[in-house]
Amino acid sequence: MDALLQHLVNGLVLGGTYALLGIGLTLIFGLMNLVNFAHGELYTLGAYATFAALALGGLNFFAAVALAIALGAVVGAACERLLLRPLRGESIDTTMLVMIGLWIALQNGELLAWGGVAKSIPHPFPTAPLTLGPVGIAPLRLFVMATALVLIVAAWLLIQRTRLGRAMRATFQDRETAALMGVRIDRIHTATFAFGSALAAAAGALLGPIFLAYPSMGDLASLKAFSVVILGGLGNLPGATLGGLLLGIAEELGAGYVSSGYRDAVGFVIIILVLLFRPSGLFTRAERIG
Amino acid sequence: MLKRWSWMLLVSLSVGALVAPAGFAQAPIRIGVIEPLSGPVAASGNYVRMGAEIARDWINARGGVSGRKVELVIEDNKSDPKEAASAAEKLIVRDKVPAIMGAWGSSMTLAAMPKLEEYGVPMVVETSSASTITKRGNPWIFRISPPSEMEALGLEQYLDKLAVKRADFLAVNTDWGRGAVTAFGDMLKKKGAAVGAAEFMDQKDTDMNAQITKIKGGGGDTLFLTTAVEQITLVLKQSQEQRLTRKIITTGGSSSPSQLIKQAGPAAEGSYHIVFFMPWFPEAMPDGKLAKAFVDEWTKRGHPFEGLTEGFRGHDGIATIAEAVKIAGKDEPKAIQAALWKVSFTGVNGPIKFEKDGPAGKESGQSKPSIFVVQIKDGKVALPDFLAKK
Amino acid sequence: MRRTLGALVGVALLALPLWLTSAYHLHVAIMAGIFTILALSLNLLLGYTGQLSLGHAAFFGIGAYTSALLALCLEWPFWLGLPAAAVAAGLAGWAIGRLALKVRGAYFVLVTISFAGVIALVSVNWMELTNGPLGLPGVPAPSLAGVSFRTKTAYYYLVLVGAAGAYLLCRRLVRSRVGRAFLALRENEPLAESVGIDPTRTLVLAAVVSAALAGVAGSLYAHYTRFVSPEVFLFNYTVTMVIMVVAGGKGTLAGPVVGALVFTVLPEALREAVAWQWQMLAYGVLLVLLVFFLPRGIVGGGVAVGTRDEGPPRGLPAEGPAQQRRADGSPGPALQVENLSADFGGVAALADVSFTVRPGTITSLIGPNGAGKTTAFNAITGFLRPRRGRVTFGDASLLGRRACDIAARGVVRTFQKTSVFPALTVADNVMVGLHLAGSAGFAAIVASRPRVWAEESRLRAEAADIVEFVGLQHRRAVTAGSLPYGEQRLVELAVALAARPRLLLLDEPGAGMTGAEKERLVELIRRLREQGLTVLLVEHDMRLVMGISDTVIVLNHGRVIAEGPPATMQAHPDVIRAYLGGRRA
Repeated sequence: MDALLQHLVNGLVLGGTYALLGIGLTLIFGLMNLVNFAHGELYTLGAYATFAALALGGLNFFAAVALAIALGAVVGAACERLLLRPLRGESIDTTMLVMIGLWIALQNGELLAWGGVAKSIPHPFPTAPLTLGPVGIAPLRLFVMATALVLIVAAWLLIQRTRLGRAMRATFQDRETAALMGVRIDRIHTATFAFGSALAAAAGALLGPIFLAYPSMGDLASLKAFSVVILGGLGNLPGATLGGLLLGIAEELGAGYVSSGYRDAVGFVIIILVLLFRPSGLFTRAERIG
Repeated sequence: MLKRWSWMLLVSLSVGALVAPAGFAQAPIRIGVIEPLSGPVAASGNYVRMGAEIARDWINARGGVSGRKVELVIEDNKSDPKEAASAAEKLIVRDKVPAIMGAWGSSMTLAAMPKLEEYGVPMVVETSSASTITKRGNPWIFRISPPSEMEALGLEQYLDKLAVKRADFLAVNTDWGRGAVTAFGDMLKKKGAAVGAAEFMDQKDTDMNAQITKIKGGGGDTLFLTTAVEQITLVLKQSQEQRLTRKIITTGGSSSPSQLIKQAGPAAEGSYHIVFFMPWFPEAMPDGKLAKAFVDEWTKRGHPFEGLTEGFRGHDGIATIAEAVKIAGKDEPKAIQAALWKVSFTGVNGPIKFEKDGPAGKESGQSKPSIFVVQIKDGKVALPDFLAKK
Repeated sequence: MRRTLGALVGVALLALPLWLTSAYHLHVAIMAGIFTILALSLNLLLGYTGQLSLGHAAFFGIGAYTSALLALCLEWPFWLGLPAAAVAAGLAGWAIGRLALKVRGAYFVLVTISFAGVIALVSVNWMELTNGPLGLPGVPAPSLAGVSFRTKTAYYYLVLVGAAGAYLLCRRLVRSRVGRAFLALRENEPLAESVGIDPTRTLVLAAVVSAALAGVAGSLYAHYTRFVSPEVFLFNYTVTMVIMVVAGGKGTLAGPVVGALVFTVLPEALREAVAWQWQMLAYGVLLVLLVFFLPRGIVGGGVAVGTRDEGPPRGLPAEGPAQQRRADGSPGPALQVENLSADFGGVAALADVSFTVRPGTITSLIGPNGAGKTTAFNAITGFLRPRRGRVTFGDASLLGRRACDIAARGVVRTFQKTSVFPALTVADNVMVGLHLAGSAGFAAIVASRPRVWAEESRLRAEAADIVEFVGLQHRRAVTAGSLPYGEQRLVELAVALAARPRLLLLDEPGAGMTGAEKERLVELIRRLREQGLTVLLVEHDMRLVMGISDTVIVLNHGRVIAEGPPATMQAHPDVIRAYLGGRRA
């Protein structure tokens, strides 16, 4: 029973991190219909930026994280403006290919800049775990979960309650009409990509201290993010959050009770099942086809 | 119109670069090096490369081999067996190297092996641990790293002192991890210890909490951990968070205890590590002077201290090949192969001399490297209490 | 010109080992050949059917493992192992096709990624079968009658034969009826369905062929490198394939070949030209640049469907398509709609709608916007599942059937929004419409049986007739997407006619047409009635409706409010009120 509780707590914490990865991508993938393979690289960038700010810039932890998030937004905006906007009319495969090229270039650029050795990112939280009965949880992870929650809520509020958010949603439902209504389409595209990238960078900045920063850290993160996006439904923020939690718990229980070797298969199998039986995601109302 | 020209240009550039004649390898002795220089284990591959470069520079400073300079031709296998095979092909055919060192991971080495047989070029294996490498009947393979079985044997003598009664395993899901689990498991059973759970993690995984929780519930007293240093760091940290209180022994020699101290901090306290080089007290190595000189040179070049536990492999590999060329008197593959059987000298790790291994008539060479156990105590690397010396 | 170029390329390829003296270069050539087969296979799915499969490495790996395991464990010769690999991979393709093709677009992408991920994990963990991460070393080289293919030159020729075979297969497939169906599904799936193309069957066929080809490549790879490990399932392989296809030029035949060549040679050239630290970075940057300057790929520019130019169409009198004439002149069955009801959320789009369309007549369905006209069309032709009701055509019930099956029964519709296959020429558009008129299947096409080509000629002649009937013969080689609006609507009509309808449902065929175009349209519809075709049409142009119809049915708010001859409808108070609004009493 103790083990089960610990597994569940592990799963929730893990799931929280997956949710954070997913919400940025669900905006980009869901709203812009862009298979963004470079998403994981923004995650990596966030981690390395935090490291650089702390080790080289001497900033305090929270300032470093904030800086990393800001950098993510800037880099995202630049990528959109320079790479994606000129290719706007092209098919989904072409933009995907550009993202693949960016992924390769960024990852190897990071390898060149920082070397292959993983970097440990210092943080101000005590390392001794907090004990709640039979389960243990590190203070850093609690902080990450709390921050992730705050970011998710903030993102949701931005999408649902602000003018910018409304403009985003309008643009991606019907671009021509939105343009006719005076929405600056170019800016919306840039803003959306920047926003999604900032969230990815935030995930990296928060998870870097837990997991270490190394150039290929984004690959697995990308894959998990895609899983979460599908689970939750494209463009569905609360769905991605719940999807992330669900994936985390499922993986934990699968690895704990079935087989640790097949752990990642849990995520894959879930995706396949969800897509077959509820393609619009577990948490969106099923649409009728036709 | 422009489009057509662009692609023609691209194709011709590529073909041109390929067809352009490679430089002629006459005066210097060229040794091929195949390592994973990009991808998830880029750090390790680069450490080996750095060690190889030190060996090359030392040899050249001493006048080279029989008066000829040594040159390294370095290729990246991108942690992909297909690339390892291509790299071997290129090194042998284009660069005409008479010998190669590589290819770090066992799958990469196995993929390159058919090329060695095809062209008749020897390769010194510096890191791979899969036992099949020397048992396949490939007479062009000479390994200086220990297969997992040898490593397990090296630990056998300390089993009682370590008081291992019931052990669990957590290993990376590659040939190396699985090989270690099998080898150490067999050794433990032979000595009468019990073997509990064998859990695995994917090379890219960062969260091992599930496996740790499961192991915690098993009630063993020792955890054998086989994976790269980044994952070891994560396992140690996560074990601490879950308050897993048992002996941890890492295997494989890639655990880089210095890096663990830096990155895992107090979580690494008390853990044991099987290593093949002790840069913290090099004088305790079989050739203390050489080991110390290597550590000094490495530090002088500004390489990270943590890399020493892997970098020495590059040095010993190149030193072995150079020694063979010296014995052979020429840099010709078949001669080098014959000469490798006659090699007997002391590298940074210890004595290097090849014994026959594998099916009769087609044996590969396997050296018996020295194996050490260290422990992290009070935030520093030390010899375990029960050890006076090696 | 094309022929001589092809011949030159062929000779160069055959003589390659003679002037490529270095074994390393031959190695690169062999890898390029294997990847050519892979790229061609992915192109079938990605380029031709438009489904982005990112799990292709799974099929490659399954082929490699199957061939290797059969050779190592059961000692099967390569010549049996290769087809076995194709079969195994093809089965996997079938499974994925059947499962994944319920979804489209991004979802399909993710199912394929997940499938590949699961297969990769199985190969790593199922040690008993695959030897896990240790891989399968020592896969034997193929041998034929004692002659071993171990040497590079011999293997090069083997791979060359394989690649040439794959190219030939793809070429034949793409230029055939099946290939047109692929393109149709990519260009406009609902339209394809409306002329009887079965999306699931067609896409699954594409998936199976694609997977089987990838399996062949896998087998060739396994017996060349003689070592198979789970790394073949690495996502990197799929990424490489995608790069080759898209950067080479998807949807073309030469594109994947060029892409495979360039992107096999490029990393090796980079190995030569650039220090190891910069290789991958340079690769990424080059890729981005390539996409920028050649977004359609190196061999860019749309779809050249292999239309064999048969020369100018034969000048037949424009009497109308031959098949419309009935031998005995009797009209087809009647369409009976009873109690049809459909909802969208809380809104009742159709409420208890019942009417009959008598054979051989022109019936018009009119009503204000939102009355439910298109919904009724959708319900009748299988594009919408209504809540309840009965729809019978003759003695066959249509309700619950798939759209393509309904089309096969002779009930063909056009769409409210202009719906053509934009990248295909007018002639090819109509050829797609003739899909059900042909019967050439996959096997016959690949074997290039004479009857297949005879059928193609026959269909092409028929298509020419139809194009002439609608008056577009001067446009037959123009891509439909570039035509002016009014002409596109005529193409739509031509496509629908090609599907040999007995009942034709036209959804606002005259919308947006000029007066002259409408006159022409009326003329065409009248002629169709003369051929015995039953027409049900939705229109807003009252002059057109009243001028041509035998019966008019009026819908408002999802209900039938009036039914009868045009003159009666024009004077009907309910109808007038529905259109103009009533006076408040």
